[in-house]
Amino acid sequence: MDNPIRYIDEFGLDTGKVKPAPKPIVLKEVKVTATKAKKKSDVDPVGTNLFHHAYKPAPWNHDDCHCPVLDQAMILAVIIATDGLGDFLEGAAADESLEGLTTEELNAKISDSQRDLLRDWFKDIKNGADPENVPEGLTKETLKVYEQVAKNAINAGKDARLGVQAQRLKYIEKAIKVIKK
Amino acid sequence: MNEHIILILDNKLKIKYVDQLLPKLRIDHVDFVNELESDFIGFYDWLRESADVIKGVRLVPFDFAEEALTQIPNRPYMQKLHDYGLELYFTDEANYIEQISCDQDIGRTKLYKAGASDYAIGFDIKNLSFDELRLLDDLITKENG
Repeated sequence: MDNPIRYIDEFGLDTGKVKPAPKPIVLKEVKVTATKAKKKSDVDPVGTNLFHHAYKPAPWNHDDCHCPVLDQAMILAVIIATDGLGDFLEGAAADESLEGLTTEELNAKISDSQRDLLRDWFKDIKNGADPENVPEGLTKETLKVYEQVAKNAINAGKDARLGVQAQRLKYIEKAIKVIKK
Repeated sequence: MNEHIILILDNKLKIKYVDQLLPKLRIDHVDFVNELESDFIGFYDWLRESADVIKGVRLVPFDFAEEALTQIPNRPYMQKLHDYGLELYFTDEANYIEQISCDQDIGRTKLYKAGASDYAIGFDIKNLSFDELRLLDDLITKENG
């Protein structure tokens, strides 16, 4: 009598069946690229904008860091953990020393030749030149000093009519990055 | 080439060329002495009626120069601004367009005094265009007869 139960290899345990050999794995070299994500706004509610502080640290002892999550101690920790510490300390010290000076003392720090270069640069920008085209010889130190002069003028309400000094602060920010390279 | 003008703030405004803004200047037999040590006492704007046509100048002094500027007697060609700024008009018709009058130049500027109440202010004019200088020169020549 024939066995009425059909033979079914339900779990594939029948070693008598030959499975096809797996294809060999071939490693391919791929190029990984990344693009900088566009900054949507200054608001960073989940605190993911760490690189902002790593690359362009806001002075930790100033009020103008608008990061809503990281407090000043955390920002400092991030800066220490990155390579930006040297620049940060240097920049913070320079800013501190300039802030305590009077406008007359600040002006005295800009030599006639540097003032001429600064003047030429402003004139070129007014005529349509790119602010990043900084005249050869114009130093970062001069830009920092002028930056403080402009800030003093703005704080004294002397730029309210024209807004020229506020605009120059933006040019200086761009120029300082270029000179740093 | 003249690189500076000096505005003598007499009853009638006088404009003269000077080569340099030295600490002491003798102009029309009057000895002017610098009232402030600095030769950068503020930003200044050339007041333009139209492109290249300058009708005056506005000095926006730094804080250290404010007090000295308040001592200058009022004149008909002068307007003192609320932020210690000082506008000086070269002609009777002192209309200007703000949008083309915002140089905020940082050239040399110097305040002088002679006697008890005679003042003069020097300005660097190197940043003016050729046409602006030419028209300004016409004005100065006419004023000085």
